[in-house]
Amino acid sequence: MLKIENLHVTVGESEIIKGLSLEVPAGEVHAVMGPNGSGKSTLAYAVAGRSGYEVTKGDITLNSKALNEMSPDERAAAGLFLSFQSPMEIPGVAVMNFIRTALNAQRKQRGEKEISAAEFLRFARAKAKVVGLSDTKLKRPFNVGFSGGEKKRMEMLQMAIMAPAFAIMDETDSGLDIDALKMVGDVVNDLRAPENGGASRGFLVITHYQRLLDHIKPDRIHVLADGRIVKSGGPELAAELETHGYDQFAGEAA
Amino acid sequence: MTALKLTKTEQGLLAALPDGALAQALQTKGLPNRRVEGWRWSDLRTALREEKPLAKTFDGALPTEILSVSDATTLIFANGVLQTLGDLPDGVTLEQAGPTASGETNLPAGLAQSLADKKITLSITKPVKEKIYLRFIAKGSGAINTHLVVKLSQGASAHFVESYESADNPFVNGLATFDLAQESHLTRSILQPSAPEAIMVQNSFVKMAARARYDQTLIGFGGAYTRFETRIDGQGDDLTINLATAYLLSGKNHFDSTSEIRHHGLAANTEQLTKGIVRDQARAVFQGKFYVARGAQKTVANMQHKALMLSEQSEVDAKPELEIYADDVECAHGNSVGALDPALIFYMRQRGLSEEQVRTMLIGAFLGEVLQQISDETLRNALNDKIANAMEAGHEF
Ligand SMILES: Nc1ncnc2c1ncn2[C@@H]1O[C@H](COP(=O)(O)OP(=O)(O)O)[C@@H](O)[C@H]1O
Ligand SMILES: [Mg+2]
Repeated sequence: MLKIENLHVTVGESEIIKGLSLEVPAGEVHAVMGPNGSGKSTLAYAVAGRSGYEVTKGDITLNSKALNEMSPDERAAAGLFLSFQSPMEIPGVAVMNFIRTALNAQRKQRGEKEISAAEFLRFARAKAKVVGLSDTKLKRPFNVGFSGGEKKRMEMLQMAIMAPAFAIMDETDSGLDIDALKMVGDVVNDLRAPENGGASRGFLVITHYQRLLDHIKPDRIHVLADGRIVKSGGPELAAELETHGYDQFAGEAA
Repeated sequence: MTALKLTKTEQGLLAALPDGALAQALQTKGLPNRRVEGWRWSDLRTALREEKPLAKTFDGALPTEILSVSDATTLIFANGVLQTLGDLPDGVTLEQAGPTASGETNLPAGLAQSLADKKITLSITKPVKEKIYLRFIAKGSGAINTHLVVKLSQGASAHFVESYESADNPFVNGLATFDLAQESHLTRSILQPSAPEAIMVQNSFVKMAARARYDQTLIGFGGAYTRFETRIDGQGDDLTINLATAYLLSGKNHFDSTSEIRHHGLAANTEQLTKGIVRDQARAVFQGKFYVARGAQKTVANMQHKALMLSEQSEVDAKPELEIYADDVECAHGNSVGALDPALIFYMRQRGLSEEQVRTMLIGAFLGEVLQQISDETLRNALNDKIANAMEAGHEF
């Protein structure tokens, strides 16, 4: 469903992604692991269409639809969701107001009916329980003064509510404790459930650690080093990386 | 003093003025211009290089209300002339007198005093629930002067809603003085819609006795030249002063908010918040000054100015100033001029909002803090709608 072919991405003057190909079929979860600075977030931003992350070569398609020329909001409406490594604060905009307005903007773009305030509230509250955010937090300005962990929960709340066709999760696990990791697993696994349309949904999970992958079982793991996929393998690759680290790929990346 | 070569406008004004200090000041100094302290960024002399003869009476139908104010008595000034009015609320009286000779040294204020059709005095003798809506409507290309005197007796209170609506390219010049006796409370909620060709100066001079309270909220869209000047002379103890201003400027609009608050009594509590957005080639000027006299101990005064610049060609000039002679006070000021954070815009667009929606949402949130100052919910919502509509209308506010 998400297909990336020979992608090259330049940030500023430097090429960060240097010919990366990757395909995640519908219904699957793939993990991307790699050392700091290898280009994981750059890949995520390029797929989401952030300006300044210039795709100089290559194609990105989601369900055969070309994303390259789409704006970030058009990509979101096409079903792409990015859980940010560093989520933003929005002063003066209440959590619920932001998420509902965004959800309705997506729905409108897709030609779907907008969701009413009452219906949204009921739905969002139920999901907030799952991710562990209190009602008082939902009334506050979006992420303002929230801890790092709470911001990650907020990312998961939005993912749960928007139920995207494809989600990229950029180090959602960093800064989370064991309980919170389980929560992330619950949110992903709920979206993967066949009765929730899991068969036509895909995930790209960017992480450093195996521990999240204990909760979200990936179908494949890709190792990113210096802007390229240097190794792909089955779930067993995670354990190997955990023990041997990324040094073994240093030569290949150079 | 060397004789100044007067502009056509100045010659015209001089001819209309009676002999005296004001005429002399005009003759020797001309209209306030960039070389005069406090007028550096808002050069009135240059703005008025085209002559503005005294305006003709307003002809044609009055424009429909731009702000629907519920539960209010409306007074309409059309090209400076007070239109027939209905019943005033209980506790409010209105007197009209001829123009007064001016002892003012502030030139625009002095001109308003001397050249206004009438001096209008509103006396408020008790708490008045009903709002008083003052509509100042101007059109044509002449000079329009108004002079309003407002007096609040001890314990009296009132809520003025004001709109300054200018069509065409007039020179609108207003002076309003407010005399607040002990324990009186005046609220002013002011809307100034965009007037891209109009030149306007509005002076508000406020005098406050002990325990009086003054709340002013101003939403301004600017014009060819728009200046709101507020001078508060805080004489009594325990004053409460709130000034909240929001400006939204587009095109080539110019908006100047200048204020000076002088604290003479003990323990005043002053909050001044100004927030604004400039885009295109618009220009905002903020000049704020707190003066705290030696005897004004325990004064708590806070001045904040925050601006968002949405284009490279826009400009914001700010000069916050504190002049403090008392040692036991808490006075602070802050000034920041920035842009919308591209990382935040991307984040919000990733969630599905268009760039326009993101801007509208962020600007609304940014200005929300100012609107919160208006406690009357209906009015607050009406002003909020004005802002939202202006932003939805596209790239012009
Ligand atoms: N906005 C940026 N400007 C300049 N360099 C950047 C920017 N973003 C990322 N980089 C550089 O790109 C490389 C990859 O960064 P990133 O994608 O964040 O790596 P990772 O997420 O794998 O840690 C790093 O060398 C980083 O310094
Ligand atoms: Mg990263």
